[in-house]
Amino acid sequence: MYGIEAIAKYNGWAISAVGVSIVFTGLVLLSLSISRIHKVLDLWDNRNNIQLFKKKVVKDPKPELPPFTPNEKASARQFRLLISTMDDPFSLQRLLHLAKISGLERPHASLDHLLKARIIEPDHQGHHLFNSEAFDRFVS
Amino acid sequence: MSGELKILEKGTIFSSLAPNDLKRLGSLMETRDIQEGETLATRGEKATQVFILASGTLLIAMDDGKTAVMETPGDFIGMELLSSKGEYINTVISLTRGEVLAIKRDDFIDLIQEDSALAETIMDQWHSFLTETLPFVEKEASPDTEYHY
Amino acid sequence: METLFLDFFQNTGFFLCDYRNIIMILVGMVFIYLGIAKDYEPLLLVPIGFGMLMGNIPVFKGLGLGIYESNSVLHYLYLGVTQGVYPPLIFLGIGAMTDFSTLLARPVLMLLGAAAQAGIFITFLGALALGFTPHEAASIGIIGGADGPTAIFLTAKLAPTLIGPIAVAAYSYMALVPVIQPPIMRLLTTRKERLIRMEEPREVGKREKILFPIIAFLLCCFLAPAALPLLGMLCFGNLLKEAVVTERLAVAARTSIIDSVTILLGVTVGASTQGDVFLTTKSVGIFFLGALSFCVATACGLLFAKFMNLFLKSKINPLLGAAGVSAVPDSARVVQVVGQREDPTNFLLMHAMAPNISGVIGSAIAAGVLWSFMS
Repeated sequence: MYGIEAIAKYNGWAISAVGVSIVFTGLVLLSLSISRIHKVLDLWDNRNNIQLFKKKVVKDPKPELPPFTPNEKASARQFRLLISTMDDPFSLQRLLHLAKISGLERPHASLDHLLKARIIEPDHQGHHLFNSEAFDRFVS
Repeated sequence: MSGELKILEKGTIFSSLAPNDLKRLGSLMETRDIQEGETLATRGEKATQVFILASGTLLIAMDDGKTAVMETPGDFIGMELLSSKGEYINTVISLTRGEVLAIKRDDFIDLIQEDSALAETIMDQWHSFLTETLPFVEKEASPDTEYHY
Repeated sequence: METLFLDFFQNTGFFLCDYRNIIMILVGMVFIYLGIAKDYEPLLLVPIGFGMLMGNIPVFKGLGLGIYESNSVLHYLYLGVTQGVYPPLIFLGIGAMTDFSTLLARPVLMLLGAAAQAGIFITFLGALALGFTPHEAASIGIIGGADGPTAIFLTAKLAPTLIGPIAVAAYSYMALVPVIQPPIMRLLTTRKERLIRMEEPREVGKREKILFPIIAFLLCCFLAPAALPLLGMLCFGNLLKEAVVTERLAVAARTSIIDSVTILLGVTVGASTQGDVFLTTKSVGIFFLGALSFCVATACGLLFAKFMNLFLKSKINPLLGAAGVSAVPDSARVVQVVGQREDPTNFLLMHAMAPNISGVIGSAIAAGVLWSFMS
């Protein structure tokens, strides 16, 4: 048997079409997957910098600060006075220095207290800002 | 030791280290109580230790008047302290009572120089930490190039 | 005494000689000449050529000398061909000597290797139309893959009686790549296309190279399990090379193992071309269809490259399509030569290696597919 008849009898058209498709599919899949290898490897190398995979540091919810004691309120007012003499934003280390030389009681702990109450807040540039709203809430 | 490891695992910088590396790091640490107002490191003095905060609040005073406050357990107060001359470049003051995990500076440098993969991980994490938490700290002051001595 | 001499004379090659043996001995000499004097695939043509001389020494049947006698030494060596042992070992060596960087750098070029395999299936149809059985037609079609070991492997599985002519046809056309391909390349491309310069490939990392054989093997063999013996060994050889820690094994695979197997394969395939078995009308058909298969495969690769250019921002030089027909690295070299004829400063060789190597993978998959369809 010869010609088209032979091809049709032995299922030649289907074998060729399916065969070419399989070869193409195989190489296309391989091509797609290898084109991604270096990206996957880059991703793996930088996995620690990817927000999605970063282990989230679960910060304990900050407990509500108890109301300021009269002493703490007095200390906060003194700090406000010192801050009012400084630039805005101001240097926290300079404020601590001024508090120490001004003879404020427990300047370190008081400063920590103001930081925790967000009365003093960072400006994220290395300096700090006075939050008068928080001051009014805790101290006034 | 397990408490120290937990603090290391909490910290952003060390959280991605392999358990074995964490153990090695943990074995180099000693716990130190800190008092309110205590100065842990003074700018210009010989750098002997780096610190990981366990509890309390630390104020890092930089020489240009900038200040950073560390108050999250696991925060690492180390590389921004060190200069190539082996001196502290910042002053660290404790604002409250608390605890730090202290690592001898030489031990720490030996550790990251012995294991380049570990060093790379720590440096990468350190840069991310600086970018997110202390964006105003100049990156060129990081010890990437300063540890080669 | 006279009888003794007569008996002896009747057992000599001079007495037993057939004109077909003479023809095949002459063909063997041509092969040796092409290999040594013209440097056409000498590592293959010289062993095959000498094997032709060995296989066409007329021998007295029953003495256990001929390759088709079950108790002969040549027959035992030939088992490596008929049982499909040698081709996978050759693939092991090819894997251990091939650098897949260019393919990894620009995977899209892999499609050219796929396109060229269309020649296999078109020739399969042609062979069916000419009256060959489906098994024979599949074995003939695979010649278009321009991959000797693959052609031998598939023929050993499907039409063992045709191993001689198909192997000789496959290796002949592979050796004649520099003669067959350039006219087709020039015919199907414009000068402007041949002048296209390719972008510099990116640098490929060590880990990518290590991962490639594992991914390629798993992906291709899951898709076409019948390609396992060839692709498995190809990828394993490449892993040995890239892993570095197995350098000793890689060196053995790409030197002593592949060399020994090439000698055995070449000589036995050559010896299988015994005149009375080889010189048949079928062989003529095989040579004709083999040439057609090779030309069609080359054309398919070229035309597909032009087709791809319709969609690609960064155009590819369509000459690279011709390298999709395996024949590593000869067809890639031809691309370089034809490209440099238009622009001596255009270096296409490293780019052409990508479709060239993917052609090897593609033809192994095609062989696996045909084998599974015919089984």
